[in-house]
Amino acid sequence: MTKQDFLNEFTEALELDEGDIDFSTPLSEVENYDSFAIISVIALIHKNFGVQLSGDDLQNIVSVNSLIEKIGAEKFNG
Amino acid sequence: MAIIERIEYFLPESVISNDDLAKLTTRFSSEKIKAKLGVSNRHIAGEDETALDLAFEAAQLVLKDADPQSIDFLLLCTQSPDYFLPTSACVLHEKLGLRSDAGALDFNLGCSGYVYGLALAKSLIHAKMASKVLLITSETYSKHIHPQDIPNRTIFGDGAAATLVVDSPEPGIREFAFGTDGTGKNNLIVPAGGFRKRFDPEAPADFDDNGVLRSDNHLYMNGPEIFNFTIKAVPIVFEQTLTKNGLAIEDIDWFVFHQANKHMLKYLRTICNIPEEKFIIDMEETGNTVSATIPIALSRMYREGQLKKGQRAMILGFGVGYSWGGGIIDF
Repeated sequence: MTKQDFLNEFTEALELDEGDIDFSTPLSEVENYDSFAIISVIALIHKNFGVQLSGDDLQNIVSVNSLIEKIGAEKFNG
Repeated sequence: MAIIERIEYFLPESVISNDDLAKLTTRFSSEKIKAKLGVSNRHIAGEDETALDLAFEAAQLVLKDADPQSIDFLLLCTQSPDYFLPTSACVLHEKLGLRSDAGALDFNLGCSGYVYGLALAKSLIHAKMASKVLLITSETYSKHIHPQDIPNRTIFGDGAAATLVVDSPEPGIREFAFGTDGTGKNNLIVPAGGFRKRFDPEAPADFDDNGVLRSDNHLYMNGPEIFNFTIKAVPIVFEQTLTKNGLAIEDIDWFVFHQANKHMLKYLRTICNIPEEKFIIDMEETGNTVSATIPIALSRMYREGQLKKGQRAMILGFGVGYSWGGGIIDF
């Protein structure tokens, strides 16, 4: 999965349209980033990377960029 | 050997729709609740209607063509008892007019309760301590939830299911696998009201880490952590249940997991590689009724001609505790 694919799937998990958020959008300002969305993001990351992030981790994540760092940038294919 | 002879369920009359709940919050629309949770309506017990009352109604339905005097043992699963003591099952025993030499006990489990209940019923029959067991799972989580906790009110509904488990020359209830992990206790809990932390009528209501208003007298659920627990525990107990029964996915007609919520069920189906057409998601009109979801789903499948005699189902429950278990039932 590329970082761009991840951003697209992340955007979809939040039920937003493509382009509504970018890699550095502060997630604290994204209204759709609620408990429903966090569960969808846990599933997205588990499915693609076999990693389970905690709700607290995801609640405190600043942006998609910092989430990619948390998962491990080396796990992405570009 | 033990088989399931009949399952019936009872839902309280009052219904709360997604529209009713969406009006109380700006956080979710009626459509979003349905899309994510797979729930449109949930039945809610009246102010003076308890899990014991729902259990009584479900028991009446399952005993319609059976003599209450034929019941040797009553097992009642609830986390909303009428009293600390006496045991709800003893009160229900009297209301149903069961024999004085019939046993009765409560057990306190949530979403795994039905699986454990069937395992206990089967054990009583195999040990020749009973030949007919009435198993009831009855829950009213609505009474634990803060009125302004809209997220949890969207998920949970009240309801009761009654199952007759009887001695039989044919095997029906097959092997089980279980699991427990008390480290998850704080992620789904009603903190106050027991003796660790006494009920405090003055307990302040505040927003928790999920932005939900509640006090310690009310249900707290850490949704993301429950999801994390589930996706870790369920694939393991799923495989253990298959292995213990010497079965593969293709040997099973139906997979009836605890109806937690649609989103979680869809993801569990994916990671367990279960064909979609064999996997039941049926909670639109009931919500998550905790220990009653599996028997309600089975009863509805049977009623609608979906589940037929001679078919085999895997049941799998998981949740509060943490506690989980899976089993295979031949109908």
